[in-house]
Amino acid sequence: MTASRKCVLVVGSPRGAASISRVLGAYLLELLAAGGVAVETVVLPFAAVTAEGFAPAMTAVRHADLVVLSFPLYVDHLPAPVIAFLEQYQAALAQSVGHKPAIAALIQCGFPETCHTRPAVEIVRQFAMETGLAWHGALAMGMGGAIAGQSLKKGWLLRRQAAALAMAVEELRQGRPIPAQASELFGRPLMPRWLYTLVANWGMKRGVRQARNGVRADAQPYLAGGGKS
Amino acid sequence: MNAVILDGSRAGDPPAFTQKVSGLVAERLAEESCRTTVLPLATMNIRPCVGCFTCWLVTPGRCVFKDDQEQVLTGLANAGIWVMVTPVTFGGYSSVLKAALDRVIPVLLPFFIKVDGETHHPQRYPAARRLVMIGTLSRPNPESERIFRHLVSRNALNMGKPETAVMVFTEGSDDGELRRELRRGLACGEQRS
Repeated sequence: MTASRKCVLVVGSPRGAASISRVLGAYLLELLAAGGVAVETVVLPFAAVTAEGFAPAMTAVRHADLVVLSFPLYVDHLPAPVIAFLEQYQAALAQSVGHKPAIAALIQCGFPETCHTRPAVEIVRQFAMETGLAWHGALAMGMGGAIAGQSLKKGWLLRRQAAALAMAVEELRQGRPIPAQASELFGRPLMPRWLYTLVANWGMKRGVRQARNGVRADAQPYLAGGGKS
Repeated sequence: MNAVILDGSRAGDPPAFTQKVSGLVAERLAEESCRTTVLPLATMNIRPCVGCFTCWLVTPGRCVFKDDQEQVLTGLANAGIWVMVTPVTFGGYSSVLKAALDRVIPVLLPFFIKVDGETHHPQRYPAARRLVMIGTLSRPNPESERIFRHLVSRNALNMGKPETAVMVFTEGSDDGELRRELRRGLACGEQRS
């Protein structure tokens, strides 16, 4: 195994620099940098899903020993722009010779259960298999809706996730995959599921009450013949 | 019955095997007397979802972006059969199909409910009676196919658990075999083993 000299974080969230995906990835990069690894962050442009829009990311990963793909779960899967990036990356790798980086995934979803992320983990791993990249594993978690504003460096809520990231970095720095123990720890719930669900439903109901313009929350605008409105 | 076909072929996919399969699906649905809407997603203007939740909180059921996705939402809201055709991409869907699926959040309600012991979102419209997911491969890839079937089973839970059929066709398959498999998968919605 070759130690990682350069790690590139690819953020695949529409919220870009302000996203939870970036926050989680930034903490990982900070730990890697403290261990002497050069780091760089690129954000995939959701407004420019084109070869031109992806050019900075494509340039960055070309020089990486480790690519960390960080994204929110969208419909049990990767967001479409992230898939488009992987499609383009696959085409570029097919034409390149020489060194190929390792790849790892960092995934969070809004459902309370981590199991929702399983297909997405498998898809990034399959991308690695089909392109000849070394698969360095994934850290995936649920309850993403509770992360905003929380600290990984101090505070109680994300203590397991912070410990898991530190555990993962220790191996990634040496050019080794994320250990299963780190993945398991990262995926542990932040709070009881019933509590997260209660707060999430309350938050949504409150949001709907405050925001809607006399339209029912369960309106059916596309139903032929007129639905609830 | 109304049916909608979301064709997730990527533009310029050689040699258009996925588009060919979409065409055979439309033919089969016509034989079943379905009123079918075919949506070639690669030719449509569909912006990526930005996760703003406007479709849940501000204009319930309507996306903040006004583009061709409205045709997708109209099709899904009024169809009893949802068919999606895509090149299997690392075990998942093409970016083309996924762009449309990402923007399908308006057909869900924002709240959490339990389905089979897991948390999911309730449906905004009467749930589709049948979901048919068809993947195409340029050559056999058992692991990719396994991941695809797993993904579809997860998606079905999020789509109101309709009767679900998954089919994966490899380029070079005999047309007669394709038609036989489609007749089975579209008629009764059973899983292809």
